[in-house]
Amino acid sequence: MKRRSEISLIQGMWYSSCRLWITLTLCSLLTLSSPVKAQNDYHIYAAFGPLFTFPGSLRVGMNHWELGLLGYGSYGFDKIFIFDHSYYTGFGLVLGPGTSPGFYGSLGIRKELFWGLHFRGELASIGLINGFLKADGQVGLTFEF
Amino acid sequence: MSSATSGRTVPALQGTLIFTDWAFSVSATGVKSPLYYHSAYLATFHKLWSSGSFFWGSLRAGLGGGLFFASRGFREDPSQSVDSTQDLALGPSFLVNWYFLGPCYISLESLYGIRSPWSHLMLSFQDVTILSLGFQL
Repeated sequence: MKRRSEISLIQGMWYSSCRLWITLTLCSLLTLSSPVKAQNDYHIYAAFGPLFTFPGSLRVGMNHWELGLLGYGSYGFDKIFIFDHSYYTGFGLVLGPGTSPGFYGSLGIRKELFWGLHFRGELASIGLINGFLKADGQVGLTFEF
Repeated sequence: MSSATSGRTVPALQGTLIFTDWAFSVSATGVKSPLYYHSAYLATFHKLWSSGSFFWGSLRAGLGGGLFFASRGFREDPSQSVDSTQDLALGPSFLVNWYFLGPCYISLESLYGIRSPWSHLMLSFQDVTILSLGFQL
């Protein structure tokens, strides 16, 4: 009985977090017209991956360069190129599952919330030379300082 | 290489027609044995723009859409008939081309097939990704 209540509590928290992210996504998409400020020197990015697994991505960044878990168990670095105020593309080199080298590409949206906190969502793809290729979505937060 | 045959290093052939800021691309890959076959085709178009430089090379990105079709067949014994099935995906796509050596470039291209809205809200897509080594004439 107790176990069942614990499961329902976890389910409740899960659905609440999903609703929060969906709300943040919609708010960001609906307020795209305002340009973002120039990116600060350092930032941290943490994001959910498919089915809201965490961490889908975890990166530290300086200027337009980032280092860390870029997605799907692939670690490496990337450079982001901001265009049209809130959008960006990214490209990087990774070491993925099976210690295979490969490439990372992304198309994303970045929107300032408050106190250096930014909502960020991206379509990211990983292509390793061992034949592992995957594309997915990520939503997360970037903290700039 | 294509994610249609993910997990195996199966070559794919891709041809791209690049205009000033538009690109139309088709690619095909497949495998065949006495027991099974798998053929996959992808056609995409993208609006291109120059993103900047990545180390010594330049980077071009593109956003557009595409169509994916695959046909698969399997039989347990060569004397049996083949059971076939098809996959179809249609949706937005993007690409990133890194010109690392003059006209030689590495292209990473992904198609996000549209399915149920709920699965997309859960950040899941019917994805098709192509990693290719290209030479621009």
